[in-house]
Amino acid sequence: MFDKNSTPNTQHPTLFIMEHCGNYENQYTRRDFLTKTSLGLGAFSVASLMDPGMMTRGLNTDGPGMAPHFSPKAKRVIYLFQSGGPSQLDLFDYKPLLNKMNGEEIPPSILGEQRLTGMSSGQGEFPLAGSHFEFAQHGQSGRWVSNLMPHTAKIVDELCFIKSMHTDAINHDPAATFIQTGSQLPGRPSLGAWLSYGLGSDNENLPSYVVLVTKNKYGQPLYSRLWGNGFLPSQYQGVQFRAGKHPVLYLHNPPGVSDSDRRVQLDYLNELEQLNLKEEKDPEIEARISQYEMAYRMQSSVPDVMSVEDEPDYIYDMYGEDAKTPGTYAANALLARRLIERGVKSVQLYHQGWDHHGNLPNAIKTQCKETDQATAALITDLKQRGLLEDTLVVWGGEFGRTSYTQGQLSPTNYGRDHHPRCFTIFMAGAGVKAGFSMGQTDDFGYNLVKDPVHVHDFQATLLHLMGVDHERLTYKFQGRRYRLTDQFGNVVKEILA
Amino acid sequence: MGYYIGHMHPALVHLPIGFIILAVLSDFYYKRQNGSGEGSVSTFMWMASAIAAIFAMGTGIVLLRSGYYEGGAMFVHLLCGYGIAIVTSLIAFTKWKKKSWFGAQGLVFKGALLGLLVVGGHKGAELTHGPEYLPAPFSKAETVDLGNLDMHDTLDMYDHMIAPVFAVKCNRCHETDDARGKLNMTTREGLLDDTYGDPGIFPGNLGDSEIFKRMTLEPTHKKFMPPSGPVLSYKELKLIEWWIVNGAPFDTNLREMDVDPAMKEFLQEHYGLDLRKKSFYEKMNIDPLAVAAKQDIENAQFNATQLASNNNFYDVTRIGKPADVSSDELKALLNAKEHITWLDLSSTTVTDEVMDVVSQLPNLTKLKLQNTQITDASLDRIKDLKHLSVLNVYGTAISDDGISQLSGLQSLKQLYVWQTKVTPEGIDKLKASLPELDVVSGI
Repeated sequence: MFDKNSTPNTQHPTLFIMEHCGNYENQYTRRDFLTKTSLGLGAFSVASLMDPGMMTRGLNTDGPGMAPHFSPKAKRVIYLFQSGGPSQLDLFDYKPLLNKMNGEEIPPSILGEQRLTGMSSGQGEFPLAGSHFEFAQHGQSGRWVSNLMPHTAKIVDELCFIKSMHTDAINHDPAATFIQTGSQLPGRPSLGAWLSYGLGSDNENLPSYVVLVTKNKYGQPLYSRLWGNGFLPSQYQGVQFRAGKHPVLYLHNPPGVSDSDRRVQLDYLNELEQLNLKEEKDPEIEARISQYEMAYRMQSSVPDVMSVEDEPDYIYDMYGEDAKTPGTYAANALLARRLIERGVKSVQLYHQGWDHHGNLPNAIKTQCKETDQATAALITDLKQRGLLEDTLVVWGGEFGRTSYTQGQLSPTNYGRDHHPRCFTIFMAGAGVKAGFSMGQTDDFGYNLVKDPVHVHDFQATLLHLMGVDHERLTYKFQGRRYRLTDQFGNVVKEILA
Repeated sequence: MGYYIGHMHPALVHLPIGFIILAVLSDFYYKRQNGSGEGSVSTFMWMASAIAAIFAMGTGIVLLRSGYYEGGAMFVHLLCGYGIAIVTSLIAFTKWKKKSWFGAQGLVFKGALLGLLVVGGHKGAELTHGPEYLPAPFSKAETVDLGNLDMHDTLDMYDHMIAPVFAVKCNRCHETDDARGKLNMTTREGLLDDTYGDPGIFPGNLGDSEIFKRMTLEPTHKKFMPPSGPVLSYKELKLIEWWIVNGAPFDTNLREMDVDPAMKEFLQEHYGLDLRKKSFYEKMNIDPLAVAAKQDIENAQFNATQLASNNNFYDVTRIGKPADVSSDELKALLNAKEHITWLDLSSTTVTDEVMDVVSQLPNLTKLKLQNTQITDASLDRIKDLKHLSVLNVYGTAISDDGISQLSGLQSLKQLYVWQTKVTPEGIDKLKASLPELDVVSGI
């Protein structure tokens, strides 16, 4: 029945008809043929007539696993995603006026007519809340950092701050989805998936996009679609490595199955899939084959990455005591370095718990304690190994927080609501200016006054650093070509080194 | 036939304009003279105006049918045309019948007629000359478009940035044939000519350069240049100032000049010109690597990635492949001698022997040999790699003796020596001969 040389059974009328209904015998349907010939060759010839340059610069670049469009500055990226929206006003964006005017109503001219969340729009008053934390200038570059982040403060001369980030979304899920996929609605490929699709992999034994989520943290939920492949073939999605005995679920052989058994099994499976692929021409079958093979190779490569026992003590001193506990942010930061050393293109950490509507002064202390030392250690560690010059590190959340308090303002307590109009992120490493700060907010930390950087601009810049033109990395889906930045985005040239 | 008739419209359209204005003026004049304004001459003039207007209208409609003209200006022009033809005919008819219907001979109708003439005529001119034609003489500084400056690999300050500005803003008068004020601004000789007094420019001396003085006078000053037409914008004055201060060079490549940071930023912001230094592999061009050569390298268990689709250099690594590198495998790299510009053999078993191959890669810019067995002796072999800018030897047995051999490598910008025997004194010594070198020695 599975013999590929079988001919249609003309002797048996029922079987004959069955074999010919549903087009499954045809490798190309009429529609496929028209699409492939007219849109393929036809469109190409028209396009090349209109734009002769396309012949030379387009052909080998618009498919998967291409060479970058131009020489990359960064070969790899580590994105330290701080989920929930860290308060820029208590960390990096120093606003002494808020302390001076603590408790006073925010001026209507500053508040404006902007949309507020349902959580604070009903408040009768909007008293300004000065930060409870001390700010000081650090390093030769003199960047402002609060005493919540003493370790980060020590490495400011390596960092490139963008204090004028702004986003379109006002709530967590749309905002996180927006900054990760370029759209507030679910369904688009994430940044890491685009990079895997566009640039391929540097290590055939590991996924090119790995995700590490801090264990036992709560807050705004994280969905796997934040690192999903969207409409791209599924081998480009992020692969989550978990803490514990089985970092990648279902990767290990079940008890009683030997490695050679598994190999034989996969070889047979591959043969079947190849038959299937020949008939169906569905790219998802190719994705499945490549994922099986990748999983097999990962059976030996993943334990190697995860065996952090051989890391010397001074490394644990750098990253902090937490780094010895699998699943912590510090342990994940250390893993991120190990993954980068092994050529993984994108590593994304997620750390929940930055959503401080109330009880901010206490809650943010915990968050910083969990992340500050390891973030700084990771950047320092990459630098001493010579990896920082071709690795880009990004730290940031999905939006910022308001300069007025949400809920009661007391001498010991305040909260801040979501604020999409401005927030701060920082980058370090390949291709960005070190010890630099871009953009400016007003004295109330509420509106942007200089060099706004939209989420799409940030994404365009990130791709640019990886050697990808954000307008040319596209994928055709449902009749139109999509890109990470959709129809928007400008590379932020000011921060390029 | 319609084609010829339609194209008569621009000629015929001016007849009714003249007739109507004359008729209105003569009516006005004779009314002042004898209190009436009536008479056979007036009737004749209005009749002639009506006939001319109808002819103009007819040819206009034929021209419109050609389909070439459309849009809002066309619609207004058409309405005015109809209005003029109808009102003129009405006045002519009342004159002929000696009636005074609807006060057709009154001021209101005649005033409206003049209004229609102005609007309709203006819109007509806009259709033929474009909307910028009329306001052009009134426009203030408009910056000359220099095109995409970044695309010139050899970017000549004068040819690409100064001459185009002079061409638009000055050379209408100061060109070879005319040379008003005995100044020809189209050539180097003309700009520097001092046979009739001071030359137009004194290279390097902004204050005495006559043309810059004239361009920056009060615009109301009688010696201000240009006396008519669009003046020079701030951006252009800034370019010309910078050119003169820098000695007004006529054949320089800006990419090879030392541009001060403030000017760099200005050029980036206002002209989209990126003068940041490019790395060796971005400036150089090389033929594509043969497919077979790439295959050989990959068969020898290396990853070979083209740097970019517009750059034929290669990035070669051993990541994800066996750490054991045989000498035969290493020799495979020589298949792409010229092409390899980044080489990463970190955490492999290579020894000093690796330099037999590495020293033969003339275009190498980044070399990563961290966590390998190399020793001080090896570094002596790479001192001829004159493009090498990044060297990573952390986690090796390299010592001060080793790095001291790099002192002649002027291209070296970054050196990683964490977890080696290198001491701060050794680093200081090396930096004395390579002041731009950044040495990362770790914690």
